[in-house]
Amino acid sequence: MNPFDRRWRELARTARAAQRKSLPEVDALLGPQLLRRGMGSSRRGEAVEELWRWYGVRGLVASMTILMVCLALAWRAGREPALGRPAVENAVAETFSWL
Amino acid sequence: MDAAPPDIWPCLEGVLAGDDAAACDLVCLLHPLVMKIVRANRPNRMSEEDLGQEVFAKVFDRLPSYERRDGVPFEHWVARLAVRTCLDAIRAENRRPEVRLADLADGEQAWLDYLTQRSETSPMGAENDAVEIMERLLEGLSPEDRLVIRLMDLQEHSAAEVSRLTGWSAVGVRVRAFRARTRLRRLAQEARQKGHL
Repeated sequence: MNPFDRRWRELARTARAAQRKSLPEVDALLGPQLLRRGMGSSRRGEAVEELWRWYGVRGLVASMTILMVCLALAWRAGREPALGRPAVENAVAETFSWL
Repeated sequence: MDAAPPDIWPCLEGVLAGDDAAACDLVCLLHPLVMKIVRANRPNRMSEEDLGQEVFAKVFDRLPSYERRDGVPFEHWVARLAVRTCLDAIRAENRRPEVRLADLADGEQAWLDYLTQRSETSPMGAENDAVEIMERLLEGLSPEDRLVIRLMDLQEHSAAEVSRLTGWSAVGVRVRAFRARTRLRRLAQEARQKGHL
C-alpha cells in the first residue's frame, strides 16, 4: 500500500468515527402516507385505464366511421363533373331571362 | 423487554393489501438500512431525511413489481434502490465553488498536509474536519467514483458487496476504486500546489 492510500484510510477511519452519530427518528406517519399516495396513484391509473377501455375503442370506431363517410363523399364528388355546370351563370341567366 | 421486530414478508403482504400498520412496520424495519446508506452517500446539500424519504417513496412505488427470489433477502433490493437513488442525487448536485486553502479550517489544512506527506502525524481531535476535507476531495471525482469510495472506505463494504449494491462487476469496482484513489492523491497534491481546492 502506498503512503497516500495508508493516509487516506486513516482519514476515512476518522471521518467514519465522526459520522457515527445516532440515526434520525423514524417518521411514524411516513409509511401510511406513502401507502395512501401509492394507492391513490394506482386508483387513478385504474380509472384512466377504465376510461380508455370505454371511450378509446369507441372513439377510434367513430373516427374511422367519419373518415369513411368523408372518403365516400369525396369519391362521389370526384365522380360528378364539377366543371360544365355553370350554376351561377345559369341561375343569373334564368333570373334575368324574363326581364 | 423489547418486542421482537416484525417479520418482513408478512409486512410486505400487508403493505400490498393497503394495511397502514404494515406500512409503519416496514418503514421501521428498513429505516436503519436506508438511513445508513443515505448518510454515507448523500450529496452535500441534501438532508438525510429528504433523501431517506425519496428512497422510501421509491420502495413503496416499486413494491408491486418486486419479485421475491429464494435466498435473496428483500433488504438487498432495498439497498440497491437506495444506492441508485443516492447516485442519482449525487449526479444532480452542482459542485461547490473552489475555496482557497487559507480559508480552510486549521484541521482541514492539517489533514491535507498529512495526505500530501508534509506532516508525518495525523491531526488529533479533528474528526469533523476530516469529514469536510474528505468531502471536498471527493467532489473532484465523478459521481460513480465517489460512490465507490464512500461505500468501500466510509462504509467498509467489500468489492463484492459494492458489486451487489451497484450492479457493476467486482473487478470493475476494484479498478474504479484504484483509479479513484489515484485521482484523489493527484487532487490533494494539486490543491497544495495551486493553493485552492
